[in-house]
Amino acid sequence: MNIFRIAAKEIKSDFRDVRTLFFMLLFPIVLMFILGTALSNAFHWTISVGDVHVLYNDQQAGTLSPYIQTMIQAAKKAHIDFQEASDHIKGIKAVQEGKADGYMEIGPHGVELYTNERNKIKGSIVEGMMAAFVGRYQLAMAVSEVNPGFVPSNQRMHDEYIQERSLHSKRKPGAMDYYAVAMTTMIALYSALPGSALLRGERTRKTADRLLAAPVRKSEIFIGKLVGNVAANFLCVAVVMLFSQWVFHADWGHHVSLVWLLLLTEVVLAISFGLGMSYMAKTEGAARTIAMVIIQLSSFFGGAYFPIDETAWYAHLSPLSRMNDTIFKIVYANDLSRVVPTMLLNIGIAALFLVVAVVSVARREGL
Amino acid sequence: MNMLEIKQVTKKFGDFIAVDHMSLTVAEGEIFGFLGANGAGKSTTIHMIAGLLRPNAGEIKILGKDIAKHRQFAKRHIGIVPQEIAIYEHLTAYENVEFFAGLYGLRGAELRQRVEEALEFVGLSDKRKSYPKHFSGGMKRRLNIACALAHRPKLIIMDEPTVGIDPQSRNDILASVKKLNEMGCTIIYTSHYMEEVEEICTRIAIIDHGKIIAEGTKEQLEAMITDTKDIWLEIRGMDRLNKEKLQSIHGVKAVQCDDNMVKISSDISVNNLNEIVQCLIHDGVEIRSLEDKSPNLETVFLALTGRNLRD
Repeated sequence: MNIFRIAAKEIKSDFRDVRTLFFMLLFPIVLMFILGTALSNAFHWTISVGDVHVLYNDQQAGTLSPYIQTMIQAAKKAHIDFQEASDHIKGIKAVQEGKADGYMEIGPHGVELYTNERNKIKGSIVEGMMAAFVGRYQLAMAVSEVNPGFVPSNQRMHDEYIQERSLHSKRKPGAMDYYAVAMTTMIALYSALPGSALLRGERTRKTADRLLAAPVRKSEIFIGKLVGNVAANFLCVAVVMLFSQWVFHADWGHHVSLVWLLLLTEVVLAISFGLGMSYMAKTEGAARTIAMVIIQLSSFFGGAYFPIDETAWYAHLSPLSRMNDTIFKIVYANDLSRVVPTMLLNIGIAALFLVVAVVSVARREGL
Repeated sequence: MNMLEIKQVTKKFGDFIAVDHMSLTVAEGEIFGFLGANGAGKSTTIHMIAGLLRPNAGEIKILGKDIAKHRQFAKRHIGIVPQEIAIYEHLTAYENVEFFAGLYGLRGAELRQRVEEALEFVGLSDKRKSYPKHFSGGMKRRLNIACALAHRPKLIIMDEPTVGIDPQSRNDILASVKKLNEMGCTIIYTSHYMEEVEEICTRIAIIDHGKIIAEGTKEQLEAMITDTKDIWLEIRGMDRLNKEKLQSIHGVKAVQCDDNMVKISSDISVNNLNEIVQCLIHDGVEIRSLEDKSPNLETVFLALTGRNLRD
């Protein structure tokens, strides 16, 4: 009951604090609006690729051939034109000179594909289609062993080979979509600031003695304040997220509950980091400064202010880049593979900082 | 039953001994004053009584129970008014008292009633919905007290509750301390203001370098440093003054005259001022001024510790 009472007091106090409301609500919404509006042209994802020309050479004319012909027919619908090359050397040369976007050779050991690095987009399209084909072929072979009469349909083959979603401009974030995610994850990280004053603030306010003089255990105070702070900050993050969805019409995809869970783990991470820092730094000011510097660097390298190359080394320095990447994958690719690892990483790091705080509190006579 | 018993309590911070083998007893119904300069060990002692610090040695009992073994019991019976104002700026006056009272297990209608009573007691009922940031220093101090009262503690520890407030608020707080005592609360009171301690405390302990160097009623403490008080009189009609008659009054030790000033030295334990005045008036001596130079707590403190209380 005391935990609930302390948590409720935290939430009430936080939402009456003008600074909290400014930093956690107004600041991200205003920034989202400014960046999302001003940089809307920088997020034009529609690229005209044109027709894709691929040469192929079927040296086998064996079991693979019927499937390749089916694939070639399916690919035509997506403006991917296949032409037979007379031999291996001419096929390679055409790709090297840019006359063809890819050369596919069906030999005794399987299918080999050659693309030109200078034309990455078209090369990627062909690679993607081939990967789908190989997968489809392996599946068909497995089915045909059980059902020899099985023939793959053209329409289904087309759907499997051509990843329409990745070519459709609507499935890439616009400026507002991007900054809705980036600002929301950034503001979740800002929870480190109230976290850095979570228990130290009670000492500064002189209320720590009064709390400890009451028949309440230290652990109840600790948990109550942590839970209350996490709830208050997560509510702010949720308000920012819902505001971006309803007012700015930002796309949060179809797995919103997963995104919320991810954000909750990020808030826990940020508050735990701030809390741990408050016991590692000598003064409240020092803890706050360290937290602020780390938040700013993480925001900068994590793509909060402008998109960054997620493969760049510096992107890995920021917890935000992983958060943003995971959310974008959920929203725009229905890819949930990184959700659990990201959540576990957030909770794992949070646990480390919480251990520092718990040990420090246990050693002290006060909070 | 004793409300508080402290036996041979020691508290060290590293090599520094803040409280050194202190022993003390406070009976139920007392207003017990703690006097000591900054760093004397008052706050450390208070913090140990309130369960905020653990002694390195010794034993503290509240209502006969050792607080080391019955921490929750002791905490339920203690209300602490810290020296610094310990309230939440973003909670209203009502919410502040309600929050702290709730930590003592009060719920529902009982909680609401106790909160109202506490606010009423300190005169903040009409400000229950206001935030402390809009309060004067005196009002904040009163709210600070209310937060310690709602759970009806038997022992209230007040650590400098009148620091930095106007005389009116100070008088209000002193009046409420007396009223709380009349209602049955035992109070431990520390202050830098000697006159406050003199006015309200039934017993006083003087602490210096972590030790109690003197303890007793005001009169007992005064008697520790001298057995004589001096009464200075400015008179007109020196020729009519009868020295022998004055010296015959019970307790008077000596009478010295100089110009129009008379100094009468008397036994401190004898209250004979009325007799002295009546004797002079009867002889036709006009008294123009009178000053009783009995030692007070200030002089007692100075004599015992060698420094002023505010040093």
